[in-house]
Amino acid sequence: MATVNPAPTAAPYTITDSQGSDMTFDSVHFKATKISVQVGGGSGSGGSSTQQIDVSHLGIASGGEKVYQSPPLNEPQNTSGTGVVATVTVDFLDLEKPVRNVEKAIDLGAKLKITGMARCTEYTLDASVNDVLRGQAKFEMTTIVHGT
Amino acid sequence: MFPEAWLWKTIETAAGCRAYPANVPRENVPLPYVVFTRERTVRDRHLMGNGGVPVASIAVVCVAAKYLDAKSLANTIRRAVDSKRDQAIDGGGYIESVALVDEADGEPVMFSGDDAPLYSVVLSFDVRFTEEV
Repeated sequence: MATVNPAPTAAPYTITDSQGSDMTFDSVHFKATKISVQVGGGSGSGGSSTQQIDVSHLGIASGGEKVYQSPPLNEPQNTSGTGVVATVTVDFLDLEKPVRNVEKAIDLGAKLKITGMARCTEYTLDASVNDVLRGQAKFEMTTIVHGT
Repeated sequence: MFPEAWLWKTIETAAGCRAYPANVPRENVPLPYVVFTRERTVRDRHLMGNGGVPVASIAVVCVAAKYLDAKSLANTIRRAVDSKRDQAIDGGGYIESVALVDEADGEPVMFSGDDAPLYSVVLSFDVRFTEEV
């Protein structure tokens, strides 16, 4: 006897598609192929600015506890007194060259609904045989607004 | 508009023989001849849509009565087509770049009634072109 598949029913929840994420920085639109946002964490490595440093040494007996201390330097502050609140990495097509180390408005598009102020810390541009120009840019957000 | 429009014209001008899309229209067409077929199209996309510069992979089959004639025809077409850039397409758009990515001997073709096979060389081009988005 043939098995009859049950009629499809509505999903109990929906997820949001990525298409339509129109990322802009300093009013420049990026043809983004991927946008990654890490909210929280410090600059550079993406690690927390309050992450403790392991200062354990050979004088500690085997089986003893590790010793930690706070990082000796603070994250850079903006005018509102906050440091880096999020890091953004954007992969894109074409030849955008965002101005570096200058704080400008950033908008991660209608889907992510994240805006704020950010500075570009680095970018790369790749030209390859039989391929279009591709780039990647990294931003540090110093203020962040989460839309709804 | 379509990269085949540029390719068709370029092949016939360079090779001095007929080029046919997809297949030969009938048996006993004059030799040599060329058949070209788009095998696939890859489009780079970004989060807002089509990047507008797809890559069409087009196979160009060069057919002749003698093996070395097929080789010579393929070489003529290679020199006319490979590495071309910024070529206007009749009807609009541009060929951004052309890359010959493969060249191979095709299977000899024996038509009914013929007493000798036809020889072919297959050139595979990746053609990046502009399209409206």
